[in-house]
Amino acid sequence: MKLFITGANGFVGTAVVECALDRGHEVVAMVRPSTRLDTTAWAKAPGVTVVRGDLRRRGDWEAALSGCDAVLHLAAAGSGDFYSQFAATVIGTEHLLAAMLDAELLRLVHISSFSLYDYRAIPDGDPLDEASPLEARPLERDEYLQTKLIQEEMVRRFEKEHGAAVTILRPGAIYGPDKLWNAGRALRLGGSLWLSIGPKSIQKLTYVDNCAEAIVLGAERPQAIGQTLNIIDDDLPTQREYEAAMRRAGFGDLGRTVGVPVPMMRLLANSLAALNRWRFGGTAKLPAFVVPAKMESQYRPLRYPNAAAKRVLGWQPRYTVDEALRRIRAAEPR
Amino acid sequence: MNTPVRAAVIGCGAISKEHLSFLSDSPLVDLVGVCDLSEAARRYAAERYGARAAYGDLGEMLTTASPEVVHVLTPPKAHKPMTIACLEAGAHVICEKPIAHDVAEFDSMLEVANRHGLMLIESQNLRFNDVILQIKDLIDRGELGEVLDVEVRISLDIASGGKFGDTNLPSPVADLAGGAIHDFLPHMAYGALQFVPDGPISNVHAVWRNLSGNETVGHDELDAICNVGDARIGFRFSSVLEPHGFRLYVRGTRGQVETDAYQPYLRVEVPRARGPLSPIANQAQNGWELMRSSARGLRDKVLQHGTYHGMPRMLEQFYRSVRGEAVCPIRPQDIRRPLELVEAIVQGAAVR
Repeated sequence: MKLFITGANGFVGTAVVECALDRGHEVVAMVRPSTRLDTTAWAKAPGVTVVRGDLRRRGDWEAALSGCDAVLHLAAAGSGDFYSQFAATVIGTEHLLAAMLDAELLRLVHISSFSLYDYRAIPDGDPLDEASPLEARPLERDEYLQTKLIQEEMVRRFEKEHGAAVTILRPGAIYGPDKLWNAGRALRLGGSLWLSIGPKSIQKLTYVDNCAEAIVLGAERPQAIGQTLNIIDDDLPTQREYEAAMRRAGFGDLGRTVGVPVPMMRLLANSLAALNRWRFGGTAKLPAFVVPAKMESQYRPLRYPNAAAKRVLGWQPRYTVDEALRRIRAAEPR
Repeated sequence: MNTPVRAAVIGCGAISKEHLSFLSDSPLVDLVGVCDLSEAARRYAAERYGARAAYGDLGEMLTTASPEVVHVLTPPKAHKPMTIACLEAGAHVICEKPIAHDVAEFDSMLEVANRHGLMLIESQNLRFNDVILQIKDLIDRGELGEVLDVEVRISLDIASGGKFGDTNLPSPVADLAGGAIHDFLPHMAYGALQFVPDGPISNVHAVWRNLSGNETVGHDELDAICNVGDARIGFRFSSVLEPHGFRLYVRGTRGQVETDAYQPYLRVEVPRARGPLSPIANQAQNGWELMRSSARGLRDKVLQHGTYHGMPRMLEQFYRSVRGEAVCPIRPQDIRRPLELVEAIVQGAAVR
């Protein structure tokens, strides 16, 4: 297949391009105009065409969609204020979808997010799966969730109004080189001492290379059309188990953590929220880990089945947590 | 009881949040429409702020929604055609800064407003911030004497990315004569001019530089001085000096005051006692004020009482003036004079 990949030089994009090439696909890799690719391994690989453009503005990049079989849409903003994330994530997608219509290319694998779910609507210990409800009160969450939610709604309208062949993938917390998600640490208390919320909570993790393979399979498998799938690895560790695995993999001084159980944090967050409503009409802006909606989305103890993705995509996460962390450690500069 | 004023917004970018927050909450206003070329942007704005309808075309909005007031929040190059279209359709206009590229452009817009008996104002929200109002009050009470010196110093890294320094997508303000700094000049100009007696602008010296090497922003350093009547006005904008700040120094024949619009505090030095005791009294009073400012700063951060807190005050007075209940918060000369000063600084500039 000839795959048009947005965000190709990002954390996940790089892994997706490499996976697509490994699986014999031709890649049209879209990167932003000022992106430097000197040290990017895939940039000079046979089978890769680099297209420069910024999705926030329509332009010459659109011509490269012609002749492609599918778009793998990974580009999005991961930080910034609401309107900068809106521009990159929502306006960027709006332009991409319009360009796809112009190019009569209607096959899309859209990379959504696990953050879209309404974590407060799921009881502790229950499974979170594709049928779980989406966040009903996005304004109580962060800008990333708000913009990714709008983005996914837009993709669904594209599917419905234009009969597009869309696959929506919602990866969990993706870890890999330079992004280890250090086991749910919420706050540095000083020196090497960290506050860790819910040390016994299961981590909703997926290793970047496992996730990348699922994304490419999403384009390959006709069964994936019309599906929404969570991408989560097997044998998910708790925070403590993940930290132990990091030590086994040779990550040195991880510092010490003070673990706070989720019910205790919930009590604190809910008390502060009540005080905020009573005293300040809810206008006070507090750190995320003491805002109920944000705290629950990060630390609520749930289970994360991945049967649907495995069945539809024929996907088997290739690396366990131990293997993944060893690979990450081995690739680090010494 | 007056019925709410029918209001609409054209341009649903970042600044629209500050306008729409007021428009959706105020009982003075009925938000009848939002308009943007992006369907996603107008759909979001309409849903989030409760607009009656979303439009992709200004003409259609003006015809269908018949707004009495339109907020023009587009990039600067669209201000003139959008504003004139709204005025011709019979709507008062509040336009984001810079309202016009130069005085002549503003005059042509104002002529249309006057011909239709409508108000045209530039959003000058900082005029209505707490510390600015306090300084105005000090001047009005004669505490500072005759103001003869105003300096505005902004330190803000506009070159390392963000909406101005993004090398992937140049900002719509980058093509203004002063580059990205031009976007701040209206605040600096009206911020200074409001404190000094009116007079001719003369002796303009301006040095524009680019220290970052990021050509996207155009200039990222400005050093300018001029006279307005007998007063001296100084502007300094730097992308490299830390910490970030928007300092304002106002000096008069009896005393002086300084503040910061980003991290508000007020340091007032006026005669407080006889002879040598006055400086000591000033230090004691200002030390106490500084401590209170740090507590207020923390409170303001938590309660999100930010730099735009003057915006709802300005808009409330504007809507009351539309209803005939108040005078317009910003007069044409409050817009024209800063434009003259900005134009003089841009044209009289030595660029290197």
